[in-house]
Amino acid sequence: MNKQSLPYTIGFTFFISFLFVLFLSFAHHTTAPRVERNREVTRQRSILSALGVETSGPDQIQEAFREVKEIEREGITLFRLDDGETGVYAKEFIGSGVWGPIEGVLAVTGDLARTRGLEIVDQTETPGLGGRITEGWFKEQLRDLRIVEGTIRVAAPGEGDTDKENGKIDAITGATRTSERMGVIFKNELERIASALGVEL
Amino acid sequence: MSSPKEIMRENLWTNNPIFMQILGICSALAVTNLMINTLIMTLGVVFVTAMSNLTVSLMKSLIPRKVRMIVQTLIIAFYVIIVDILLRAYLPDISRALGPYVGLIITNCIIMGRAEAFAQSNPPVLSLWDGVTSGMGYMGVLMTIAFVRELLGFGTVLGFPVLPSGFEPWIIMVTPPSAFFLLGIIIWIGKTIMNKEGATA
Amino acid sequence: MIDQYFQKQDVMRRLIYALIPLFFFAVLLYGWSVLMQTAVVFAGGIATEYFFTRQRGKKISEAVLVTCALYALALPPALPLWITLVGIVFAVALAKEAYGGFGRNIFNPAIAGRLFIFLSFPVPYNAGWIVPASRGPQGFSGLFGTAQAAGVDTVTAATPLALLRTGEIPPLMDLFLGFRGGSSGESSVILILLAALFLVATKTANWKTMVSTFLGALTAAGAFFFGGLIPGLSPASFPGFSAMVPLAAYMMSGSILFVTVFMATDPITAPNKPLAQFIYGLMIGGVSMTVRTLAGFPEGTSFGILVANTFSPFLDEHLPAPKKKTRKIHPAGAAR
Repeated sequence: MNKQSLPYTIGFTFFISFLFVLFLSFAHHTTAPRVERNREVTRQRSILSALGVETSGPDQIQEAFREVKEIEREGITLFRLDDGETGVYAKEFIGSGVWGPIEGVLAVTGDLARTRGLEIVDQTETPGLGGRITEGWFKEQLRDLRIVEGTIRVAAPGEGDTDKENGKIDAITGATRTSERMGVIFKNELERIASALGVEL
Repeated sequence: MSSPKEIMRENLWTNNPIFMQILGICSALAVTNLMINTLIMTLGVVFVTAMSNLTVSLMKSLIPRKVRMIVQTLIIAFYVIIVDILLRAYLPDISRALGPYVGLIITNCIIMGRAEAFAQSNPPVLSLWDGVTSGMGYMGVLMTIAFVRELLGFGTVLGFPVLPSGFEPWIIMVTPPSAFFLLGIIIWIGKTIMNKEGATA
Repeated sequence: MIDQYFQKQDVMRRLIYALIPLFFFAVLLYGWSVLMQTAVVFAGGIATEYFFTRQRGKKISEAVLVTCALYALALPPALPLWITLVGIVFAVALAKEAYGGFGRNIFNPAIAGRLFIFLSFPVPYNAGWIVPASRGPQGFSGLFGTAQAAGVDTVTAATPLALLRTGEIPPLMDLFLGFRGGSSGESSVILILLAALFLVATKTANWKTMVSTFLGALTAAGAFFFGGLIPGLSPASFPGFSAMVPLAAYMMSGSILFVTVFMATDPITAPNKPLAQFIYGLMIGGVSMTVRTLAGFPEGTSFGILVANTFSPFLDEHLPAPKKKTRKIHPAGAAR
């Protein structure tokens, strides 16, 4: 058979493409549930972390997430965890950072007296400066922080504000603008959560 | 025909894809900020180069000349998507960290270069070996860059802190431009050593 | 003994002479820290240059001394010394030797070194501005670095540019004489002017590049000021002739004048044709002021120089040569 002839070339190209694509579809199909579960677990882990629930491993995450109820009010989706008191509410957010969007989850108590926690899901801030919003010390500042005058104040740069009653957190040294943007995000999100829950800030 | 030992020496050193052929530079800049990401990504490249070389070599007598390049691209793309699917399903965190760069392995000129320059005219097992060693040559250079960038940018090696706490991170090492400097320095040192070898041999 | 290791270069020597008064003034303002910085810079710079020139079998160029002096004077006085060292090694090894050594570098090494450490270590860099000696009605205080001795830790001082952003205008006479915070050698306008006169009179530096850089900066600064784009300085609060005050303060702050006189005129990285030099200067001034005003960086002159450096060979290549055949051979031409 002449391997350089037109019919062979077309036939070969068609056949080889068919073969490879068939195999790829098969691979995609068999792993799809797993990929979907990974995505779900990643999202659940962030929400749980903001709600202050410590987890490790996919099974434990899914187990713990059964306690969390998804509710929708005023077109805003919140995740509620019952704590025996006012409940804790987490909201996913996308805000604008310096270079691109900052995605994360912010959790507050049901009476909006305190924040419960913060988790950053995705961001493209300057690595080593604004990118430090993903570091533990920064997020830890919002663990059970009292909300004063309906907002969280981002104060002068520092190494982390451990006072939980003053309603303010330290900005990141050298990343003034990212810190400012985080302040704006907190303000907007608190207002949204307040309107969804029908609670005065 | 070259012996396996010669092929290895060529691909790892005297004809190293990065600093002799200056191929695959784009990914060298993008993924080298952390060693673990670099390791996974370059393992992907080793796998894809090896397998596509093997496949091209096995099929070389069947491929019509007119569609040779397009079939090679198809084969490469096939293996890259397989790597991507596997990462998504089994290593979701690394898949997220690497982002679009796994898909971009397709555009890595080294793979196409080896398929065209070696696998087209050599037996399958030798082609596989050529693919593995070419990938390793690429991996060696990228891991060196990643080592310096992670050490100076984060003070860690493979995620383990190795520098004292007073260490001041080099912000520029976290950002892609530093890979330009480091790659340049590596090429500089590599060629200087090679020139000396050439002078004495 | 000196001739054995150094290649004699008259132009470079005259540049060093012009920088000496600035150095002494910096010592007057900050004392020990400047002496230490300078010692580290020269040791590191000369060692790096020696490492490379020895392999080529050449002598150390005196140009490296100029690079060292300019770099040392362009640093925040209290920068940690190891960072200073990283910067000068980068400047000499990567901005100069990597291109083939003296006469072949595209970018100004001193500026490249300074920008590298600024981008690598922004936090310590910005913490490096300390309180200088000051001039009061009772005479001088805090001379030779004693201004910091009062505090246990070094006291970070606001630079005039930082003050201007908050709307505060430092006294123009202090700016003119140089009693203000900032990089060690950039502050004294009067000493920089005298150095400029010396350099022009001895034909060491090109006065046209100085003038066009200054014009470029002034035009851009004026446009931004009257356009209301300079943060902290609203044109509405300076009616009529009083607009000269914030504008003069803006021009005398930061390192723009220092850069105009010493960096823009660097014969290796500047173009050779007069028209090219003119455009080159405008570009340095314009880009510097644009970055200073609109970007989030404390000062923009490093970017101005490096951007213009990039265009320098292009300008020389594509602009018409002057009628009279007086142009020198482009030093970078040797590399082509």
